[in-house]
Amino acid sequence: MTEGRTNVADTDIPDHSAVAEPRSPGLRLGVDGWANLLVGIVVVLAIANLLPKIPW
Amino acid sequence: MSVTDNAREIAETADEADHSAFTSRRPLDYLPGILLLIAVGLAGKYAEKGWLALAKHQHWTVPDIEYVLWAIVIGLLITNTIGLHPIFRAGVATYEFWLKVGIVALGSRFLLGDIGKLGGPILVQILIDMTIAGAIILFAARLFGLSGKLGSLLAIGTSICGVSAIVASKGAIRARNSDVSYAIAAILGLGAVALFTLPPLGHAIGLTDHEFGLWAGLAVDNTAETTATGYLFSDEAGKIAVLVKSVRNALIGFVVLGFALYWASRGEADQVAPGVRARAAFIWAKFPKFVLGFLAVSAVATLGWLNKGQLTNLANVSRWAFLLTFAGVGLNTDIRAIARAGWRPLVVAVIGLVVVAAVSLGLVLLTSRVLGWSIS
Repeated sequence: MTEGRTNVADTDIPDHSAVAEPRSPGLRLGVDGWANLLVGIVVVLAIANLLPKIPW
Repeated sequence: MSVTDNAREIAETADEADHSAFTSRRPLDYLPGILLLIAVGLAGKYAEKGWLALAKHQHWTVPDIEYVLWAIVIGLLITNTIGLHPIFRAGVATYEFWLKVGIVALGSRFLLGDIGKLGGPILVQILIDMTIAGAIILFAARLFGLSGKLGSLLAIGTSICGVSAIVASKGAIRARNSDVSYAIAAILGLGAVALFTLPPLGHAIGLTDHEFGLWAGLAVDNTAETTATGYLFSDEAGKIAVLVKSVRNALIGFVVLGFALYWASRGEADQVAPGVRARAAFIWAKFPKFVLGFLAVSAVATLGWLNKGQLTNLANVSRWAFLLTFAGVGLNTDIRAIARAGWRPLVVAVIGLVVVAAVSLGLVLLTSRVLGWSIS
């Protein structure tokens, strides 16, 4: 899971209307979505034999 | 607040947890920090080789210090001495993203049948561990006079998945931000302690790779620290720790729903929409979607669509992504910020760590050495 390390102010949580700012479609995909997408592309490239050899 | 508003806030809170790795809308803002992650990761990788070469040259007998530890320590030193310049912050925060990339790519190293076979015993052990640990944390929190909601947050963070579980719960149980900060600081402190103590303890006790992976997956709260702890012991232990932790993460919705219903019944949180459908939507909103990617990649490997060389390539993608994660763990750990949280939540968290580590070690030894459950 995602573990954020942001500092949180010592106040009550904001009213939900303040949190409900519209987000860009890019952000809406989320960290998990972007990770799935990136690895999905890598897997497709691997299946198609287009992924170069990755050293370790 | 209406039930609809509540449902919307729950979804937004889940989004909020999910977006903590992406703090800027401008792609270039991420570049300096990502370059720093790469530099620290590479420094860790070469430090391991350099250390062994130096020891060999000087005829010293030294332990093999893994690149995982080097990367974390170098990151820790930077953040806690010269500090992290703001220009690096956006990129360094992406270590959560690299963690997910590493886990999803690691799916190629598991066959679906194995996940099914391992999943049952792991799930049973997680449920026992979560119940005992959660109950003890709630008791300790009450004993040390912490608020009920802070106790709930610590129990959720300790029994499920650290900081993201705490952030995902804060809206659902209407916790104060000060309680959230305390719980996060305590869980981070606990993760750092576990990272440095569990691997040597595991070696001292003589655990196998699989036993240690299971122990790390059950006992360490934050996914990044769990992964690092497992890989500090061995590659195989890291792989098992990630699998166990992913099963734990998948349970987040159920635990948060349980606490939300409890606090709502006391009139101290908003009502959760009634009905199976609404509750299923709640659980889905909290479900970590990277688990689906992990299973999809595992399905591709199971179907035999990837040859040996391609599987090695994907395993290396996972290793590089984890290397950036380990660098990020060090760079994001500000010891002064953890210390500022005060001693009481930390004491509760340390009690939690000791209890969870002891209970999970007992479970691991009982299931593997007495009951003969194999997770290999």
